[in-house]
Amino acid sequence: MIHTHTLPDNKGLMAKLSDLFWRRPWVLLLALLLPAILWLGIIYIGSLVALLVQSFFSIDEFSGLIKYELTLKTYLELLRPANLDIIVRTVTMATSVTVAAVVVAFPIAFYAARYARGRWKVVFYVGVMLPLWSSYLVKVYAWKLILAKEGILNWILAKLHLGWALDGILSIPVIGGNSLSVSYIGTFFVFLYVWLPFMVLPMQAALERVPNSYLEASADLGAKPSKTFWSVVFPLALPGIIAGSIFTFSLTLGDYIIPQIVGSSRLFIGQAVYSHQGTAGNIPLAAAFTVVPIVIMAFYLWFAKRKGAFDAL
Amino acid sequence: MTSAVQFEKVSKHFNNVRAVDDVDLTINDGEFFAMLGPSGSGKTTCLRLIAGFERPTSGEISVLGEPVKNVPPYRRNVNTVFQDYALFPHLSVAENVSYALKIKKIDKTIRRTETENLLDMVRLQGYGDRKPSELSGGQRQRVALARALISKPKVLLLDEPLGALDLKLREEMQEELKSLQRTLGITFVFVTHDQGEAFSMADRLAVFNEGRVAQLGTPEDIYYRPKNAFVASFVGTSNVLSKNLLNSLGIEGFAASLRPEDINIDSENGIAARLISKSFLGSATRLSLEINKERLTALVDYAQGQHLKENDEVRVSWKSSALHMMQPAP
Repeated sequence: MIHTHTLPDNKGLMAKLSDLFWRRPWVLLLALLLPAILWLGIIYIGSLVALLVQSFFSIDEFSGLIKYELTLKTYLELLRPANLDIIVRTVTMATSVTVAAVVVAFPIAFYAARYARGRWKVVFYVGVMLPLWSSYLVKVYAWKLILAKEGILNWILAKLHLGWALDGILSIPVIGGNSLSVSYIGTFFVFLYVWLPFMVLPMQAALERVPNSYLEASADLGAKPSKTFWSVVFPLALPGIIAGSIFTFSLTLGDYIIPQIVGSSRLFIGQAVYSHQGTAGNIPLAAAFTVVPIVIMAFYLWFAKRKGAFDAL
Repeated sequence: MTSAVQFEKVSKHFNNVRAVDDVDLTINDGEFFAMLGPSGSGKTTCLRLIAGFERPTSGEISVLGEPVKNVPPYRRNVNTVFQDYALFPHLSVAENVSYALKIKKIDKTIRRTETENLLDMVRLQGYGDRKPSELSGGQRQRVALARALISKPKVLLLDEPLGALDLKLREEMQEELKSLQRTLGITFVFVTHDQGEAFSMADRLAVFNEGRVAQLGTPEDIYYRPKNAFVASFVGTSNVLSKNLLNSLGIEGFAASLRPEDINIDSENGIAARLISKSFLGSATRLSLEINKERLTALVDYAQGQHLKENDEVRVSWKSSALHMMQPAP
C-alpha cells in the first residue's frame, strides 16, 4: 500500500508547541502555573513567614535593638492593657461592621440575584462597583467632610429640625463624641461604606445559584416565606455571606487609614502596626500585632466550617 | 364522585401572552390525570396554578371543592414533584423527605419513623444520610416523590417528572408511579409532552394547545377518536387527510384522521400511491407514501413491506370505519 500524507502540516514553533502540549498536558500546566507559584510561594508566603518569625524575636529595652533569640516575650507584650485595648477595640469594630454589612447588603444582593434582569442588572453592578473605581483616600476624606460638625449631614439635619436626634446619638458615651467625624460611629459608617461592595458581590453570587424551584418547593411543603428564608435561602447564601464577611472583617482588622482620618484618634491594630514598625522601630511587636488578625480569621473559618457553613458548597 | 381539582373559566396572562385561556376542567378524585401538550401549550402553567405558584388572571380554581384563588401554596393540601426535583442541596436525603413534617413541628420520633416508611416505599432504605448530590437521577426522583408524599396530600402534582431519566429507567418509573397511585388511592396530576407516557399511565388526559384544552378524554378516546387536526397530529403519528384529499377521493368532510396501522397495501384494488421511503422498525415497517401530492405514513407488517422499494407504485386501502372525521381546531 502506498503511504499517503493527508494530515495538515505542523510547521512552525507554535504548531510544534501545540503538539507538545497535547501530548504532555502537564508541560502546559506547569508553564501556566510556575509564575503564580513563584509569586505566591516566595514573594507572598515567604515574606509573610519572615514577618511571623520576627514576632518571636524581642527588642532590647535599653538599646532598642532586636535580639535574634526565639521568645514569646513580645506576645506577652500584646497582653498589656494598652495593647489589649487596641485589639478589643479593633475586633469589636470589625465585628460590628461585618454584621451591619450583612444586614445592609442582603436585600441589595437578594434583589440583584432574584429580580434584576437586563438593564437593571447592569445598574446594580455599576452601582455596587462604582465606589471601588474611585480613590479610597478621596472617599474617606469626602466622608470626613460629610460627617464634620460643619458638614452637609449636620446642615441637612438642622434644616429638618432633627439636630437633636444627632446630638442624642453623639451623647452616647464611648461611641459618641464631639461630631460624627471624630466618633466611633463615624469610623463605623465609613468602614461600612467602603467595604460594602465586598459583601454584596459574593452574597449575590451565592444567591444567584438558588433556583426559584427551591423556594417554590419549600412553600409547597408548607413553609411560610419567613420559614423558607431561614431554612433554605439563608443556609444556601451562607458560603457567600462567609466569603463577604472574610473581606469586611479582615479589611477592617488591618486598615489604618480610616480610623486615622475619621475617628477618635484612639489606635486600631493597623495603626499600631504602622507606628511600631515605623518610628518606634519595634518590628517584633508590629509583627506580633499582625499575627492577631490571622489567628482570629483562622479561628473564625474553623468555627464556620464546624457549624456547617460550607455544607452548601 | 367529588372533584379533586376544578377549573372554572380560568385564564392566566403573562403580559400579553395568554398562557392559559378560558379553561374549564374537572379532575376526578382518585384518578391518574395527565396534561399533555407541546411546550408553551399552558399545561405547566395549569399545574402551577393548582400548586399556587401562579394566580389566575380570571376564573376560579377549586381543590377538593374549596376555592383556592386566595390561598397561598403553603396552605394548600397539594404537593408537587418538580421537574428538576428541587431537592435542597444542603440537607440530607432524610432531612429533605422530613422537611414538611419539620415545618409542621411534628415530634422527632414520629418524623423519623415516617421518613423511614417513605424511604422504604420508594426503595431507598439506608440512603437517608446521603446528600442529594450523591444520588443518581432516578434516586433523586424517588426522593422528590417521597418528600412530596410525606404529608399525605390529597392531590399530587408531577411536572414532567420522568423527563430527565433515560428510557429504561423511565419505563420502570412509569410502572412504579402507576402502582403507587393505585395503592395510595390519591389523585395524581401529571404534566408531560410525551404522549406514550400519558397514554400508558393516565386514566384520563387533557391535550393542551395554545392555552386551551383541545380534547379531554380517555387515552382510547384521544387515540382513536381525535376531535381535531391538532390532537390527531400531536398524538402519535396519525395521518391527517385534508379537505382536498378527501374530496379527491370522493369523501365529504373538513378533515379526517387515519392511523398508520389502519392502512393496508393491496396489490390490485385501492388508491394509487407512491412509496417515498421505508424504514425498518423491527416488528413493523414504516412506509412514507404520497397520494395526490400529500404525505401519509403507513405501518405494515415486516412481511408486507419486505418486497417494496422506494419509488414503487403501490395501491393502498383502509376500512371506511378507520377514517375518523374531525372538526376544525378550537
